[in-house]
Amino acid sequence: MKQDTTGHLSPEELVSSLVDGKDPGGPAGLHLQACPECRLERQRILEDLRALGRKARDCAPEPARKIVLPSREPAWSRLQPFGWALGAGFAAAAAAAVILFLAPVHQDTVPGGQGRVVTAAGGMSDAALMADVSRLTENALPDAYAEISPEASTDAFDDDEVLDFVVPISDDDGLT
Amino acid sequence: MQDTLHGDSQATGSGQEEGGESPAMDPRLIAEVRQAAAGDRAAFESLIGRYQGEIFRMVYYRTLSRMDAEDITQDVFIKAFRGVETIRDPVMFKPWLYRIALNAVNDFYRKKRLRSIFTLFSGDREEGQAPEEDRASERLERKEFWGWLGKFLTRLSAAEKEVFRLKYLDDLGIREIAEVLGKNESTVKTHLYRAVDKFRCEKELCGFLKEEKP
Ligand SMILES: [Zn+2]
Repeated sequence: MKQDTTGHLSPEELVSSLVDGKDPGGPAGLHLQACPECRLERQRILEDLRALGRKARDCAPEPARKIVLPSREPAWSRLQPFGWALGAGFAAAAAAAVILFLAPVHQDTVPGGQGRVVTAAGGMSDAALMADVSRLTENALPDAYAEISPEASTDAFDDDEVLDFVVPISDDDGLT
Repeated sequence: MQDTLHGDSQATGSGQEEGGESPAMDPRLIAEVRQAAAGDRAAFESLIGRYQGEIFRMVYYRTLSRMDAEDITQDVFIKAFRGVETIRDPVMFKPWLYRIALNAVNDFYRKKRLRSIFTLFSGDREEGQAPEEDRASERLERKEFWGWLGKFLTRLSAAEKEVFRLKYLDDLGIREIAEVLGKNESTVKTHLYRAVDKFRCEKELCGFLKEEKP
């Protein structure tokens, strides 16, 4: 950074001293102490920045909602990495239970069949039904999709990891 | 970016200063953070009382949506409540809270982008595009301000933008910003210097602000 041709501090030097929060050292600092014009210019930039902060505050609403805190959580819910897998496991188990419960009572009357009752599973054996249920709960995708999808991971996927993969952070400047 | 901080800074505060030094922290605040970290719910509620307004505004400055700012602020404090026991140094509470808030805002935008991908394929209109209830009645002046500011911010890099907002909109000190972003103070100053240098050339925005001065 260099002083401008008038002998005053350059705008860059003024900004630098403003960001540092202290007068620059050496000749630039001595000049700043002695020159009302330079001090005024630095003050002008500072006032604009302060006005910006005030204006932003004036142009923002006040929060209207009360923050509601949860009750202290039970220890098991702190198993964050496994939360997703546990949820999926419960959902699969619940789905299997519903299918097993409904299958025998879902009745249909065969036309002309004298009210003969058949189960939804038709003549399927228990073993075949269980195999189907297992297949469904382990992999809900149809076979065609299963072939093109990556092998199911045994790792519990965190929501954030999925999000990181699908929508990476767009920050183009890593603040390094 | 992680949400836990264990730094050992000795001072932090309002960010009123223009450089790196900050005024000493209020002893009552230190006590409240310690109590909250030890599991005192009332102490944490008191911290909410202190910081809800500024966290809400911080989020609003980045979303310009009152409803989203309310939702995100709620999430920020719940997350903070669940993690406050990890705070070792009370001085770190505020930067830690801002870090959680910044992460929450980033997550909000990533989810929004994800939603927009799906709505693009499904042909639905994105929910968030509906005009906000308060937008219709918002004064022209406010719209103008956010418009000028938004235009200026597009001229900054992502890092310059965030450092500038944390400093001059959120009123954090350099040291606090460094803690929030997990960067050193000289890096923060470098980005801030570039941002302010662009700001001083922003005649329209500065002119608009001057009109507003009493
Ligand atoms: Zn001068």
